[in-house]
Amino acid sequence: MIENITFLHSNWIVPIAISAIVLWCIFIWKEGSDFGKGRFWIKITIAGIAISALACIALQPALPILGKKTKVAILTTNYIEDQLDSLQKVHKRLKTVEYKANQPIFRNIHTSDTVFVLGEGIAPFDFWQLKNYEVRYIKSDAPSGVIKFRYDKKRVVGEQLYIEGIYNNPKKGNHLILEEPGGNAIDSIALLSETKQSFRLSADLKVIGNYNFSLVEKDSLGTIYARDPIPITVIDRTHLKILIVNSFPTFETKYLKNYVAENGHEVVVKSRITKGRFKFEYFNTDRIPIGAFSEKNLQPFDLVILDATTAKNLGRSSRTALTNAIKQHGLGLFIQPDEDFFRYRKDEVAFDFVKEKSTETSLGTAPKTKIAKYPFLFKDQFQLQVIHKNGTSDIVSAYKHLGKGKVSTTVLQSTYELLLNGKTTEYQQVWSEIISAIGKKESAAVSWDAHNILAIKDQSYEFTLRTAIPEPEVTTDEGYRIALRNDIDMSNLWLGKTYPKKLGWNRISVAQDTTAVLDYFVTDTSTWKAKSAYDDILRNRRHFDRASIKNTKQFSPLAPINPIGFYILFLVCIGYLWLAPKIEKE
Amino acid sequence: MLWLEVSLYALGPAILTYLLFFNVFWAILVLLLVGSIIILYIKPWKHSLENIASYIDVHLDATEYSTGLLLEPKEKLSDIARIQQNRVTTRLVEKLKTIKPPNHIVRGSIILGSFILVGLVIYQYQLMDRLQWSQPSNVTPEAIVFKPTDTTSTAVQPPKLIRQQLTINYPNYTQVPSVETSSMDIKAVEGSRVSWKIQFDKEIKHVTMESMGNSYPLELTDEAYTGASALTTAGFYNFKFTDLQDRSYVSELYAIEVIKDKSPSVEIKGIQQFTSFDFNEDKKLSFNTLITDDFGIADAYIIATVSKGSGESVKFREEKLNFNSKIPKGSKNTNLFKNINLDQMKMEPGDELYFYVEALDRKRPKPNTARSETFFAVIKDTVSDTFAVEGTMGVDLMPDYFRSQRQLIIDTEKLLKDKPKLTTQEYKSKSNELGFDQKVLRLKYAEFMGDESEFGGTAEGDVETPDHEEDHHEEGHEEEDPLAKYTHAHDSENEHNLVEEEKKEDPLEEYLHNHEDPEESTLFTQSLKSKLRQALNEMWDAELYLRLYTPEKSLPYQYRALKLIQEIKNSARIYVHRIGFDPPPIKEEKRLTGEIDEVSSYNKSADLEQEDIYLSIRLSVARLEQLIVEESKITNEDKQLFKQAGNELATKAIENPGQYLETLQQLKWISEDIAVPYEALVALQKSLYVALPALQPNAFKKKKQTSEINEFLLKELEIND
Repeated sequence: MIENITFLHSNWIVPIAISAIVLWCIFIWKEGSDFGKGRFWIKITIAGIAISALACIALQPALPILGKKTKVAILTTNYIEDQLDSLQKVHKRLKTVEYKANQPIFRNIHTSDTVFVLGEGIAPFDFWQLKNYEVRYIKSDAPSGVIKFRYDKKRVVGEQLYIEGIYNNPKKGNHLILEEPGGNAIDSIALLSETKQSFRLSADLKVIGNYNFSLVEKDSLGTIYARDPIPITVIDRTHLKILIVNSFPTFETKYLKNYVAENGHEVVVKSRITKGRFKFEYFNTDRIPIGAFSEKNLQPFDLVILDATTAKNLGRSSRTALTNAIKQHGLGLFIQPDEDFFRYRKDEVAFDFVKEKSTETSLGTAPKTKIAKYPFLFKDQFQLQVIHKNGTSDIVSAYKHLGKGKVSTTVLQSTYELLLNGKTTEYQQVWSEIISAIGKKESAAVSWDAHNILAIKDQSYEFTLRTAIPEPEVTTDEGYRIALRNDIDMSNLWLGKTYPKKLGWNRISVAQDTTAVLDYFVTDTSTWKAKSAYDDILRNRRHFDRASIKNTKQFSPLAPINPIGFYILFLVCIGYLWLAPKIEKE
Repeated sequence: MLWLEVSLYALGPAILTYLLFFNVFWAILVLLLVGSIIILYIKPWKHSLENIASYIDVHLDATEYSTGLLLEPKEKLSDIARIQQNRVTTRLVEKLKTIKPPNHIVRGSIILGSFILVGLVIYQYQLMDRLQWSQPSNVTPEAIVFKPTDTTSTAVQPPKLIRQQLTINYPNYTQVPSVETSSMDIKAVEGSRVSWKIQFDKEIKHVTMESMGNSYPLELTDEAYTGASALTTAGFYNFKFTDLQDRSYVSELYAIEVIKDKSPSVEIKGIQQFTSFDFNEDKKLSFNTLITDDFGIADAYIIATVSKGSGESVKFREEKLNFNSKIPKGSKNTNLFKNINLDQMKMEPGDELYFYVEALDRKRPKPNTARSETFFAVIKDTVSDTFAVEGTMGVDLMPDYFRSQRQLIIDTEKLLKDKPKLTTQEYKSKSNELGFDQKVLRLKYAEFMGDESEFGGTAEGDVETPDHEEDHHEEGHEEEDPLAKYTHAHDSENEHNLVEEEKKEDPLEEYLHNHEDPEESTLFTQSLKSKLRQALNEMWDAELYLRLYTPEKSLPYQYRALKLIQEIKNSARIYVHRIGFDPPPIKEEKRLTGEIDEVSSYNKSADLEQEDIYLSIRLSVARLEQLIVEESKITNEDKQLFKQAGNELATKAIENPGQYLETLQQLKWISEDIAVPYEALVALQKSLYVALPALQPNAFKKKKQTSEINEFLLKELEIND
């Protein structure tokens, strides 16, 4: 007990102690005449007590308020009664506190013992309040609803939006519906009575801009249970510049060039008509002379498509230029195969093929469509990146990295027959995937990465910024500047945090590059309830499990001991000292 | 009493009904209905004396269950019974007033009262009207709703529409009476004439009808604005008027749906598609034809074609046959019957009859016609020789070589027939021309004999010199290779090269057949050869007489030539096929050695990028999202955008007016400066989004963030690869 006493004015200890001893010495000297008598000893003892009482009044001793044995349970939303009951059974003197976000947790309760957190946990921004306590987190069950979801919040127009997620504890008969902006239902899934149900919904992205899709849960009568926003930024397509070189005109190239040119890509086609004579076609672009490849004339192109013969018969300088363009500038190369291509020596092709009998296949994405192919398949090996797999999961088109660029080919043959058979979409799908996968990538000056898809009003929203700009200045819509923290290892990585005030779409931008903006959607806490609750549970678990490992040193609040006792003691002692000589005299 | 009760029960619902609907008839009906049901249930006539007696027994103890005795005649009762009867009588007289007959008048009046109360309450608060309001009322006529385009000045009372009328005059032939309606959506047959008449309570400046980007002013006649138009295409229209204060108002959009007059449908029943008869059969066809049309049939008939002969000598004869019965004009469906006797059609064995039914409807100016499938009838030929093409031949080359002689004969005969009509000059020139044709034909046959194919090289060619002058103007013809039509030109060039070259090198030449030498030709057997030579001679004579302008003399030769050729044809057809050229493989060293000086590289530039036909709609959807989220005001640029989006949507909407009409309407209002509520923007965005087709897959350039670390990683990978 005594070791718990601390003095509130502990910095005065030395002067007070000295003056007390001096005072006592004076007193001893004053009583020196009685030295050796019994009352001398009594007097100096009492004087000593009086002086110490006086010193104590000045020093204000204090004691920790609560004893160790008081435990506290913080009750957060959806805590389980049974858990609280069991706790109370074990710890009889358990005190309970209702948790309210963003308010002091221990208003007038003080403890030095374990704190239990029950339920969905406390908000991350309140973690600091429990910093000095040993916290045990007792989680509640995951809430019913969508607890996890994932989608690309920035997509290119024409792509599909896929939203995948997990619905916890679904109610049978209800439906999850994906609605387009404006509220038109486009995809849905019926919920089953499982403990967890994963779902995947998709939508076509038809328009550029910032939009809000919504995920709606309805029961069989159409009553809406929840409507949660799915904000997405749809950006425009950037066109590629493509060079096609063929040693003789083919139907494959003819249809391919028409397809890409009609979709706005810049296409240059050079095909040999006869020895030394070429046909040059320029679509959506100006005329540029294309002779032998050089790094200079390959510079503007994002993708080069060669037929196998051309690729094989490239001159030494052309080959070097092409390889350099691929390795250093990220150019994509696609080789249109022919029968001989698969029999080239390995060092010429860079791909390994396995011979097989079938000359027809179907794509995994369109299992009913038959496509002609050469009787070969890719051998799956290290570094091979798959573009297409067929219905039986064999690789039919793939690419490999070569420096910054990519080299690709396919075993598909005469894909234009798809067009002739009226399978236009499948044809376009095949080629758009190949071209998108291997085309040169535009290096973005600024790229944003947000930790959360959704921001919540008045809560922190963290983002990272990767940019080569030396000291980026990031400002909000309102013109406030956000302070950034540079990563210690990576000079181009910056971390920032903002507190959005406006609901709906918010934008932060880099002052040095006004085109580099991050649009993020701010909601309030009424949306995605199940997910945010689930996230809180996870976050609490993570935080408090980690916190329990370190030995938390506790600081109990102190209360000064009431000085009245010291006063009385002092008065009694002084009274005795005053009275005693008078009694002795009589 | 019971009757009163019944009437109380019945009166309650009746009064309630009256209060609800204010209709005496219904009230009386309900009164009678409920009354009769209650009467059937209570059955007041059934209260016999026995019932009453037993009732009194139950309710009056003093009667000691003996009331029934009062009903019995005294004589029939025993003495004790009589005493009892007496006792009961006296007691009954005393106590009868204490007992009341059973009835529920109070209950009845309470029910009546509550019905009246409910009725009054409903009447007082007009609950019924509200109830009806909640249901969609389809009775109210669709009035044209005009919205002011200028939202600022609403203080002045806008002119009110007091009359609207749409008259649709169907085309006469349809025999549909003209329709007058106040509903402005038009759905009518193509060619109908539509006229509008709208009248306002105030004087206004002018009214226009806007349709598909054009506007047509309406004329003021008799205080009403009228306009008319003929329906040709589907579309939309709306009215717009300007009042005297120069404020303009727009109406909703109305759809114009044009129904095309359908072609009649013709169905032939009771006959197989292909019928064949033997020669000795009764060659009669009979069938039913069911013709239906949406606005009536004008005419129907059978087109029958008889074909005689086969191959080159086939002849066609077309006849228009009528049905057995008359066609009832204007009837919407009719069943017609027809008998065709093939003998009456002058058909012989081997002849074929093709026929179909054609029907016309009453559409003006150009009727819709429809025809049935074609049906066949054949009289089997008694003799038939079929020609089988050699299996190795890929192409069915029915020889046309021998046709010309017949044609020459026909032409010669025609020339003779026409002789009186022609001038001497023309006659002579035509005769000469025929002579030339005869020569060409002869030369063709001469080739089969192994004669030179080139003109002038033949022995006969020399004889022609006297006529050289006349030949001259036809040099154009002569220079053409007469075989060009019958051979593959590209083959022959190569053939010359190869054959010649081979000949030079070939030491075995003398052991081979020399096709150049007509005498050694083995193309035809000897008899054929002589026959052909004979025919050639005949042709030669025929030509001679034609050249001498005496076609009549040439005819016998021609006939003889024809006869000979016919004979040859039948026996030698197979050889004609076999003359086909079989090219030897091209020598390797000759390949790719052609001159390519003429071939040059060439450039081609094109802009193939396809315009997005729904660009404005896409932009509008994006803009609407902003308007919805940010709740900002619609600017003038937005209005332009929405207008364009409306135009884009209109082209799409024509195919499917019902689906997009409302959207078009909203777009129109937005672009016309009408204040639009938030919900309307959402609805508009929704329907525009739905109207947009999905984009076709297209490749795009991806973005990436390059960082030193990534590059280091790639380098490391490469080094360790």
